Amino acid sequence: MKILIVEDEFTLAKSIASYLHDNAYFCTVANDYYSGLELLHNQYFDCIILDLGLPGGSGLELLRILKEEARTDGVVIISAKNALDDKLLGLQLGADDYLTKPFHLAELKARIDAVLRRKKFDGKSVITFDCLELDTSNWTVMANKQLVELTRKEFELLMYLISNKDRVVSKGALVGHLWGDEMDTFDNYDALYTHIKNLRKKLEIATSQDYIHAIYGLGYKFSIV
Amino acid sequence: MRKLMSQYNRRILIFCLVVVVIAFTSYTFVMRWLLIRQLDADLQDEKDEIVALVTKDHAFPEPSNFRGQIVNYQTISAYQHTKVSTEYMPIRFLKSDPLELHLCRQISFTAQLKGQLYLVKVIRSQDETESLILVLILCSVFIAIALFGGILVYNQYLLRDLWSPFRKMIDQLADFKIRERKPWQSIDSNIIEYDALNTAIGKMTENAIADYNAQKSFTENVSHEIHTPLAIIRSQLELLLQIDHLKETEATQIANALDGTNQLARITSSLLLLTKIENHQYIVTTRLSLNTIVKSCLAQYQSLLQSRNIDVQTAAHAVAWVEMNQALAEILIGNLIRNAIRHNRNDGFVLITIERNKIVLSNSGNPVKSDTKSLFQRYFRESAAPNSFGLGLAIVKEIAKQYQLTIDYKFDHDIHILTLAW
Repeated sequence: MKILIVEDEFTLAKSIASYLHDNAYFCTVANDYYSGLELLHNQYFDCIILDLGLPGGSGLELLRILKEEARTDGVVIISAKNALDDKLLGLQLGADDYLTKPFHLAELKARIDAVLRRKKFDGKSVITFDCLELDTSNWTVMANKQLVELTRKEFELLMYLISNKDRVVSKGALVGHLWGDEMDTFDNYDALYTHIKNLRKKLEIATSQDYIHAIYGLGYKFSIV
Repeated sequence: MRKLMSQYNRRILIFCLVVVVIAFTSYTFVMRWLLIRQLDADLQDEKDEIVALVTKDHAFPEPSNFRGQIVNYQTISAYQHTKVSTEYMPIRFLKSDPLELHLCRQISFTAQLKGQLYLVKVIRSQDETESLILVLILCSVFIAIALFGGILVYNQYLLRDLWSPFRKMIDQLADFKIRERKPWQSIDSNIIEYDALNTAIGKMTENAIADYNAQKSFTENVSHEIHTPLAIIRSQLELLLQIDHLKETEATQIANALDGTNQLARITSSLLLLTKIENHQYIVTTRLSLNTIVKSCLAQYQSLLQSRNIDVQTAAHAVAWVEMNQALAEILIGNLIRNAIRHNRNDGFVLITIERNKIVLSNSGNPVKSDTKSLFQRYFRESAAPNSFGLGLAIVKEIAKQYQLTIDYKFDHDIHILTLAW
């Protein structure tokens, strides 16, 4: 997957690229409006991560240009502004998602994956990981073609972990994804542990594997080993 | 305190009254004096005529009593000085008249005829003079009444008219709320003072609004600015987490740093939201049911509540209809419910009672330090403090203020009870 990151804050752009980097993703970075524009003119991307406040022009302008040229590149807007108007305008102009800074890298990855899935399969899509098959259209999981009974929240959790496979995801990011950033407090981590515990048990029963690895109690890693 | 108009009326009228009384009184007296002087002059003329005649013809003139004058002669033994006086006397001026009491002006003097001294009295009626004076007085009174009445009535309209721009300005000033940032509506007037006042107020409100805007946008801008370095810090920490073979101590340090950024992020976004609410960026209102919002909010946290084994009950005795901005209503209810969950203990409960015009949230409390209770209570009286209690409730308070909702908080027997009413 070709990803374009248009973000003027250099460190942040680099962090996003580092986090996304693996066998499946190839990231290009543009630090301002005009370099972004140039890159867009020369090639297509599977997903564009677009910052709005760019030197040289607004990210919304790039979005307008993409829409005018009827481009099908996926767009996830990242912005420090949480203005409702900006959000609506962005989505109206064809952005696929809108994420406010500061965000968790894991959350960004999950949103990018969702956009890519929508673009590729027009809604119905299946995520595969090892022997697992997740059907996002009806929230079901099959392990070796056998149905695994998961609650909705457990399914969301699994999808999130698979999106961020082989990466350590912090508790904060997980709780934020499941219940919103405001719930990111000590007491609510208990609920997270419970969900993880239940998910782990169900997966282990279905696959005889434990994909979820706890990292010193600060987060989890979803991987085969 | 009285209206300027009545003050003005009172003082003007009293002044006019005094002036009028003095003027008309003096006028009347002067008139009277003039008339009597005229009368006296006539009497004097009569005397001179008689004296001249006596001197010339050695005889008294023929009695020419006409209505209004009588001359009578009386012998006296000694000389008397000429005297002029006013007396009431019963006389008749013509033979056909009845004997009546008349007010008369008489001049009495001594004349000598053929060696005999006579006291001559020329008597004239002062009745007409007095009648004239009476008419004058009546006219004066009538004029005074007409004047005062007229002034009173006319003043009402005149002052109301003249004061109307001023009153409009007062009304507009009373209505002025800096938060609404409505510019000052100029009042047109061709009166210099009003124009000056209008300009001054316009300028003052413009400055006040500009300052307010500057302050608000400063807060907004600072919150924005913070987001970017915050994003950098968080992203770097999350990358650090990916390091292979991370030692536990290092991992803990990273986790603590992450917790700090999470708290910071919450604070700045709450601050930003507060500013936006105060800036009236959420103006559109719709009629909505808080019951629906409570339900969807609870649904969102259902799994969380289940995991913590918190029992949630909603007792809806009626539908709580309100006229509010949808987003703000969701934030309001969301914050209240989140607090009820956050400051709850595992295996606790949350009870939400909904009435037509109030919502009561009760939840079991965290068995934390005893100053939680005073902290909560103190919170509601003081302005928001940026701690985990503060900002969420500051937002609640701000939204409540905008829609005139009341918030009442009690902490009783380890149970938090929060009542929202309108």
